[in-house]
Amino acid sequence: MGSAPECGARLRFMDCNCRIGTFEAREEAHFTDICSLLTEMEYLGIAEALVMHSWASRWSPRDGNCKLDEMIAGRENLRPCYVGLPAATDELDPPAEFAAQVRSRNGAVRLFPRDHQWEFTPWCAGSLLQALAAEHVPVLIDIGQTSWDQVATVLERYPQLPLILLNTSYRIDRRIYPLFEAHEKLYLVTHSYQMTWGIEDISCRFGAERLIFGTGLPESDGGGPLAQVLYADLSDDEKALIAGGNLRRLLGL
Amino acid sequence: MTKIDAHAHLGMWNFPIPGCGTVDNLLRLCEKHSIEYTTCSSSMAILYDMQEGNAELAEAVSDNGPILGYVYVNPNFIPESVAEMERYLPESGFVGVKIYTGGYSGVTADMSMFAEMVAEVAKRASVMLVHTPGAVVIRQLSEYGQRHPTLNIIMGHAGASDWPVAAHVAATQPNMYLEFCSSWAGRGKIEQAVQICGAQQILFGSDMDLIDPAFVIGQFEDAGLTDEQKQMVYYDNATRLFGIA
Repeated sequence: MGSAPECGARLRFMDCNCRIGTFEAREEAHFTDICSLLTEMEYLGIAEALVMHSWASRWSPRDGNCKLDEMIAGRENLRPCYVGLPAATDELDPPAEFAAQVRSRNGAVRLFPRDHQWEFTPWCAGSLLQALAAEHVPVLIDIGQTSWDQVATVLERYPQLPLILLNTSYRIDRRIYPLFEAHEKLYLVTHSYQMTWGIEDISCRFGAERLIFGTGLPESDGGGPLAQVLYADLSDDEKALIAGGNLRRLLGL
Repeated sequence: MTKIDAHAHLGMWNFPIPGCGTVDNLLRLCEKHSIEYTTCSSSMAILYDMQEGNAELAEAVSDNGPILGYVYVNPNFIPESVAEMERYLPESGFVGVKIYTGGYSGVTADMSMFAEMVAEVAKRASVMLVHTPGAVVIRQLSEYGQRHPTLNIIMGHAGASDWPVAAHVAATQPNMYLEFCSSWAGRGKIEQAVQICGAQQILFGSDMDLIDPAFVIGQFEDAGLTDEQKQMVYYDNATRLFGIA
């Protein structure tokens, strides 16, 4: 990272938002094999990653999750991020089994309610969310896949569910500060929260424990998100939490 | 590496940003990120009142410090915009003009009033920074660049995900420049743009104090540029364009 501050060498980054597999829109951005992802991580200085397969997000969660298991088998620095679905249509294992499996693999679950045609609400996904909360499985969701009202409702109904918000923007403080205030299991991914002094302000108000490093690889560049953390006016301990400590804790690593 | 920032703002926005909107905050960020000069437009001028915003910026620029200015012009108010240019461009700290397409002013780049505004800018300024959200605007600006060859047009945000269009335009029009600040950090865009149009057509811009400058700097730092290319992008191109000695 070029002229990044001295602390960079001491931080162990774990990326919460990596994807492997193809997708239609941008051919050149794919990581179709694990080696491509690992090469990019090494170039950037990212030690570990939570990885999702685009087969699961774009086509079939069940088949994509299996494919992910095959691809990352034996890679201790890559943890699975499975795509989840509500239980009503029986497309995945029953929620309690599914959640237990994810937890046993130190993994997480990502949800795509908008793309997958369901609602991020207790009436539609209650049994899944209840099971994930019971196992303390971290759940990642793009704000574009839900709404702030739905996020608030889920946090209120399942207070033990660690919920990690992805792909927000730098204009969200009036929405997310009340949620941070009310819900201690809410977390925010840094790479889409690019505002000046944003990381510092959240750390000061709510604690650095609420921020999770991520890149959005392979579509997004990793250098910007890394520099956000490296250059932040925070202590080395706070940076270490954001860089990977918080995510590792949530995954039970 | 010392930098000149070709895209920044002075002032508050209609959503909160911690510590944002003051000269002191810009100076703090300049010092932190080795930015020798930062070229600002007024957020008040963009969002609310052109004249009041430009006047507020002029006070910050007149201190001969690191803050340089873009006069904000609005195609809805062409005579008033001309008056703003004639008032501020002769001042030493103002290096060009900033104009928006669509969005805040509601005037898109293909409208006749926008073309008329650009013609007035070309009579008075050598640099014009334009907000470019995509290919449609880039193609229109390419036409204006051909029509006004003495006007250097900075494509702010480099057309976002349509950056290849911007890079190909800049490859054939030496008065068209890419500036990459954006909340969208598409992987590979900077290094590929350098390959398409050359580092001499690319400027560093931060979008501070909206966006954390580190977010843009990090993208340049991992883009695999040579030291010579970084020197051009971070500094030399801007000194040439803005006439900084």
